[in-house]
Order: sequence, then structure tokens, then C-alpha cells
Amino acid sequence: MKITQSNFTLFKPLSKEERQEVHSNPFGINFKGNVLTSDVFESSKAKETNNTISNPFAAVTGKSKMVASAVVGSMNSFNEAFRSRINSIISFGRQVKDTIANSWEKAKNTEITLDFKGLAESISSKFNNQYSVNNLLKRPVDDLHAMFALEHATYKESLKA
Amino acid sequence: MKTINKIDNIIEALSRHEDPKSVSILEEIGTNSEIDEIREKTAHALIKKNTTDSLKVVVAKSGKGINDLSARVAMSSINEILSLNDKSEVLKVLEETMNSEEQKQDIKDTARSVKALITYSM
Repeated sequence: MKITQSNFTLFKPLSKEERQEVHSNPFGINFKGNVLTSDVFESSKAKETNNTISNPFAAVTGKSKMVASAVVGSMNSFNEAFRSRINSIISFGRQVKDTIANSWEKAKNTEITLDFKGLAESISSKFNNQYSVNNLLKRPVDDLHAMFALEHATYKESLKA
Repeated sequence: MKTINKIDNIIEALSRHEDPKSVSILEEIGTNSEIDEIREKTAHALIKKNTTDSLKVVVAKSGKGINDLSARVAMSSINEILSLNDKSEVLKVLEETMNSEEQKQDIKDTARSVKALITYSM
């Protein structure tokens, strides 16, 4: 059982234009134009140590290598679908990044000010009004006389209305 | 702030004011008011002041305090007198009113009734 070399031509790296289309290869897998051979999974180191060390991975038979190569070939179609999904994820990520960047720019350019003067006036108008008992006690009785007469007249008018 | 709340605060301030003129202001505007609510609040303020002058207004003057034509104002004033912690000053004023030759009989009678109430409640 042998896999023809034509099967492995599918692993040819993408041209520059094709790479631009898919933006980037997120996993950095690049075969740099090399054609995979059936021996691609065989480690030279493993070959050296095959006879000396009892490594279970080193005991890969020629048959299993063939199966692995076949699997890699069948993965090519999967790669296309995977790449398109990855591209959509990358596009989404870029959109998120742009949104965050824009928001950050907007936030940097947004001026936040607190109107302490207005706030103080608002508080003082609520808690420090001239009709609070404490403030009235500081006034001379003649002032209170005038205020009492005025407010009494106003109240009387409001009851009539 | 509502007008009635402003009036409440002014009356309260006058009741706490040290100036003796505050009693005459309360009497002039408050106890002479056409509005029962204002007369009632003013009577309370004068009783809380607990001075001879302020108590004389609500005890010995016709149509004011315990002698008010409104039963509500009169009863409310009596209750306020009964709730005073120090009743020595009001008892003195009541006694003077009862024994005064110039006072009308109905005012004397009211003063006597209030004094009896205070005596029974003590």
C-alpha cells in the first residue's frame, strides 16, 4: 500500500495572494513549499534510538506510517473548512479589537467634569435655606415679624384660592 | 419649601428666641390669626416658651389659648400645658388669673378648671 505523490501536492503552501486572502495562518503551519513524503513522520532521532531504547513511539511500523500519511491527506479538505472558520473568528476578533480601540479613543477624548459649585449650591439650598429654624434663630425678631406676616398672608391667600 | 412649613419654622424660631419681643409677635400675628391651625401652633409655641408673659397670653386673654372659641385649639392648649415638665410658672399664672378682680368670670372659670386638671394629673 502506497500513497501517490499527487496526494501530497495538496499540502503545497499557499501562494502569497492566497495567504493575503485568508489574512494569516493563525497556527503558523507552513510547509514552505516542501512536499511531504511518507517518511515525514519518522524522526531521525527515533531512528537512531530505535534499536537502543525501548520507546513505544519509536516502534512505529512502516504500515502505520502509511495510515498516518493517509490521514494527513484526508485532512486537507478539513483544513479548508477550518481555515474559513478561523478567518471568520479572526475577522470577529479584529472587529472586537477595533471596537475596543475606538471606545478607548473616545473615552480618552471624553472630558469628565464635576460641577462642584452647582452641587454645593444645590446642597446648601436643601440644607441651609433661610427658613430653617437654625438660620431663623440667627435673625433679629423684627425680621421674623416681617417674614411671619408675609408667609401668613400668603398662606391665607392660598386657602382662599 | 411649603408655606405652612415656613410658618412652622418661624413660629418655632420665635418660641426659642430670647428676645421678649418674640411673645408680642406671636400674639399679634399668631393668636389673632383667622386660621385655627395657626392659632393652635402659636398657642403651643407660647406654652413651650414657658415664661410669665407667654403664659399670660394663653391663659388670661380672651379668645386665645385655653380661652379660644375653637374647642380644638382650647383643648390642644390645655393638653400642651399638662405636658409641660415644669408647671410652676403656669400654676402661678393660673392662680393670678383666678384671683384677678379685672378678669371676666368665664376666663377665671377656665383657669380654675385647668388648675384642677393639673392638680389631679400631678
